[in-house]
Amino acid sequence: MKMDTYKSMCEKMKTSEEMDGRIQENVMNYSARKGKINYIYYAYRIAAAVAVLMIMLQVQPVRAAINNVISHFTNQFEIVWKDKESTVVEMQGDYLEISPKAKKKECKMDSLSQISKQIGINLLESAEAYEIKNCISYYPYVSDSGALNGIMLIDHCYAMGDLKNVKMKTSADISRGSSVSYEKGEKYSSPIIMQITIRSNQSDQVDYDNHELEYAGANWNLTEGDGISDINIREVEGLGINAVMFTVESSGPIEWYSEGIEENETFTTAMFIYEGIEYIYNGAVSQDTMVEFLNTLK
Amino acid sequence: MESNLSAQEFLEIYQKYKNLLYRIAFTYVKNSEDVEDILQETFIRRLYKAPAFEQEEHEKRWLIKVTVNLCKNHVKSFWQQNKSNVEESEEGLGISHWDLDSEEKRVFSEVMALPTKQRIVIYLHYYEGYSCKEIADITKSGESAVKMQLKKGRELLKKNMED
Repeated sequence: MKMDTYKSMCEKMKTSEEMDGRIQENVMNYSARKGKINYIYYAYRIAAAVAVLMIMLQVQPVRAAINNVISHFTNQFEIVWKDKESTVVEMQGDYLEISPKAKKKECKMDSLSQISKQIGINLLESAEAYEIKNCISYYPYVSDSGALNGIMLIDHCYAMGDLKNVKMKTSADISRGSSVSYEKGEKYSSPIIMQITIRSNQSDQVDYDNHELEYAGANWNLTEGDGISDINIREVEGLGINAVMFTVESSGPIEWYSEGIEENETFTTAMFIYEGIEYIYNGAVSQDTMVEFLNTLK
Repeated sequence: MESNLSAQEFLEIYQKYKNLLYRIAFTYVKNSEDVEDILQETFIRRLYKAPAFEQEEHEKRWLIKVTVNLCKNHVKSFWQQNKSNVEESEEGLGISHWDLDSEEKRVFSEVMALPTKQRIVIYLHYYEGYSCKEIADITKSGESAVKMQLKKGRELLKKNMED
């Protein structure tokens, strides 16, 4: 690569005037907008209180509707296949009661069972989990008012399958990821990443920081050919649920390095909701191997 | 919510850092629409949630780290990481205003085809001049992993540009 050309290309990577205008306006108006949102939030709380009163008066249809709004959320996937009719898959998740003992600061944890005990919620675990000290990153989403909006758990090396010569270093410092090196196995060409998102029923839904939870996976549009291929809905018999599964080209997180992964690999992502909690697994394995792995979850 | 900058101060900071942060975010997410969201969030945090900075370099590093974190959040959902297709039109990517010449377009395609972690270390090292240790601090990863990605990215680019 000619470095001069690379630098001249970078010089030209700029915002447009239109983008500048939109960003500046939105940032400068953020405080006023947030105030308005808070106003709407309080109006919402009042409306919810009225609804609860109506429930107490046994207005059954309203009761069902309000419960649905307050207790659940729906992940909606519009799947557009190249050669089949598109479809919409909906998965309903729950806003759950998280224990007041749950930590409100980012930290590293050693196992899902340790986290389950602390937050008072059962989480799916695999017998094939590669658990070592500080392997799980624990990210609470706390609003400005101190409400716990939810928790995201990420383990970049949750399952190693048949990878060989696995060497892993972890750190108690949340700002440091774990690093792992390995050689490919027959079924696994990378570790399987785990991401779990738990949404709280005490969350301050209108708070700005809660937006980060939206990245967890709700409302995905999956279009075959847009970097995504082989979209399927696969049954996971062990859990009695269906998982949305698809394939992307990726090299995985920066924490992974292996002589085997020099360029992009074919990664399978599986997403499903179980007992109201969103689970995502991702790794350079086939979809059949991913289903085998999902069947080890209990 | 109280802003920690006057409107004039904000606009000065925006002008100073917008393109640096735009390039970093684009290197991660590969389309201008998502970059706009990330820049907006970064500057909201600068305006309302940033600590006081003693030096300009501290502010720059803080803004870069926030942008990188937001990009990582954005691609945490895994499939986002590589959904953008470098074969898409310039209009689709929102980059028609860049006005790249043919040689720059070729380099752009090759760089954007690299794995994300190699793209970002190449940009931070070769364009921004950060050392591997500094990049490790910014991207919250190990120095040895950064060195490895830099080496592999360089080799892959060289190979692809020669083909």
